[in-house]
Amino acid sequence: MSEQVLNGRFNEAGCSRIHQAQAFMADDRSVQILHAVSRAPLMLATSGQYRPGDNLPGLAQPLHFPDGALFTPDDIGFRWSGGQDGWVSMIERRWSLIVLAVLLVPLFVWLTLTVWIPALARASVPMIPEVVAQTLGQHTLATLDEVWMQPTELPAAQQAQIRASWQKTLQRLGYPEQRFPLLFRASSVGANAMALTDGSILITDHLVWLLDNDQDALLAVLLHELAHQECQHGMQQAVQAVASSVLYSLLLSDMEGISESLLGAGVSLAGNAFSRDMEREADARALWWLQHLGLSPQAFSRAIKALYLADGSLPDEEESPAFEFFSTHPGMQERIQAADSMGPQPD
Amino acid sequence: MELPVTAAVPDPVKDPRIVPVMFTGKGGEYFRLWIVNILLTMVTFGFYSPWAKVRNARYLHGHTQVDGHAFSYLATPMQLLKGRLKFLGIVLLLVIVASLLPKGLEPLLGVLFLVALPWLIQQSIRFSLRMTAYRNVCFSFEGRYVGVLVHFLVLPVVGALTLFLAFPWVTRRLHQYLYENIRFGGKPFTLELQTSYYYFVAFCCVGVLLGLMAFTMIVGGLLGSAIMGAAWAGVAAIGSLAAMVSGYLIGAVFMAMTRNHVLSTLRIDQVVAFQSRVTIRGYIVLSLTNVLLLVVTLGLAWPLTIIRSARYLAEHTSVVLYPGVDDLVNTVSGRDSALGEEAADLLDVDGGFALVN
Repeated sequence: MSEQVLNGRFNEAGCSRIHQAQAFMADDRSVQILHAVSRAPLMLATSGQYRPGDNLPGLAQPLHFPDGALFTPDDIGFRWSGGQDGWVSMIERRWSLIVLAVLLVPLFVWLTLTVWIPALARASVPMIPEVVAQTLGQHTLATLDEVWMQPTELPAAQQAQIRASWQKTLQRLGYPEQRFPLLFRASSVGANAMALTDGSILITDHLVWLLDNDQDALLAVLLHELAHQECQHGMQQAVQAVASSVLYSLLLSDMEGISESLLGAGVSLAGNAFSRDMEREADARALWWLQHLGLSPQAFSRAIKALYLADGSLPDEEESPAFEFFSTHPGMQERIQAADSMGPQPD
Repeated sequence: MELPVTAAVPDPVKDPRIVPVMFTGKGGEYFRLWIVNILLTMVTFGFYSPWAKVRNARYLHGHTQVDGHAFSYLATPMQLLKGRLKFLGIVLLLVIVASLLPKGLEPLLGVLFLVALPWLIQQSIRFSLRMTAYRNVCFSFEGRYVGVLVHFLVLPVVGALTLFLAFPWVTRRLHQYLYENIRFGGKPFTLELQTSYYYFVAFCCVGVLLGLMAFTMIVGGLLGSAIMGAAWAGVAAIGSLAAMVSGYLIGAVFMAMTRNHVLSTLRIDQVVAFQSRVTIRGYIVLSLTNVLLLVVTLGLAWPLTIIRSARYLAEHTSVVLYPGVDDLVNTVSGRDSALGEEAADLLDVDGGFALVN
């Protein structure tokens, strides 16, 4: 029946007094602390009354007593039985696991941003009340109007004609004709169209002028935006942005190093990938609708060509995959090929 | 219990002792702790994060020792988890309220945030200090709402209105307020900062900035005209490099000078005083090599930079201990709401640990 004896220091509860002390551990796991010099009893605790502190590399593991006093062994390698975090320090000591962690961490960052958050966005959007999408759409429009947009310069007759043909198309696709209203705006951003989360579709005067002689091409662009509406891509992006920044600020706040170096770039690149996937989805649906309406998918590739040309890209320019990485939209060639592969004109 | 009191170094003499600050953390050890923390946080979708934060803080605190006694970080993971859930709830509530608010009332939220900001700052400083202990005795912060409002928000605005001429004075007031309101075992820290010294620091920082600009013009212009025949191209190239470096250089000058000044006068009567011998050159070398390490390793050297900084600061700091340090009584009860911790993270405030480290 041998007692284990440990030299160390005893911190009194609630004050800075410290004594050189010895801890005696009996077979029933009770611990007695005696003053090293005077042999006066400082603490007696039975098993279950005391709690081992953290098991940290290079540091002695203290023993905490219920009143706040603690005993710290002089031997920094000594470990009390019954500690809770032994498994963490075991992982920390295994070099194979450390190498694995160095490889897994960037992989996890990537998976979270490109797979899990988009999946979360897709799954959660149907659960968000309509009023949020409405309000968000109105706020976006207000901001756009303040910063980028001016009142349209299109003649009222032309607006009415585009609206009427859009409403007819909506009807043929089985939607209420007022569900996805068109908004006309003049803007310095050039030819562009966007789907707002409240269901409205904004098109710029430049887009109307660009596709002035090609009604079907304009319709193809509008169908692309309608597809964004149908799939609620706007809300998905909003959810993704919120989820990424919550992840960024709240959950990863303790690993500042990695968030500074990897996450900053990762978040925006992954956001771009998510955006490209949504563009592809919208393209596919727009092409399908064009066919359904008895129009040629070529109308879509004509619109894409015109838009990219107006933007300054050359029609036969090949985008490298590395360049795509930094882009929010798929390459033009890919989008045109997708349209052309839909086959010859149906009529 | 009446017992003879013996410190780690039994020394019955009533004179103050000068002891070094020891930082015993090791790069490899800390790297492993850090990467395992990140991995566990990720595979648990963030739920391990409070445990990671506590383990991280306890490692760094525990390896910072004065007179053979380590600092300790008292917050528990459950405490932090509750604080984070509360914080998340408040944020969600605000988002919902914001989205339901009628048009034109959005500025109201901004006003609300401004009103809450001094409270958030006060809570975060308070939490970080109360969760830091030395020899079983906690630090604490006695700053109140109005004081924080004046020193953190009002004075900087006033300073900006004077075309930043009053900024050194504002910084001095802020430091004075911050440190004066720290308590250790209920005893207040005192310090006497010199406004003139803060103007001297500002003068040095501006001098470094002007020097860098001149360097950019001359070296960039010469290099540019020699290599490309275009002086402006060289100025632009060297200039962007200088702009990146200047932040670290000026930061280092400011940190080194103010740290020495603050610690030279900071004290608790009959308990503790400090000596800081950080040099501007040493601090600049430290910051620049740390940045270089981070860039070269794509951020993986982060834990190493933490260890290097902590070791450098510890090596250049001494603590004067008076016998009163053996007789302090803890005045902080402990179980604070960790909402302040979240605020601390949000506002990037460091606590009393930053005093010596």
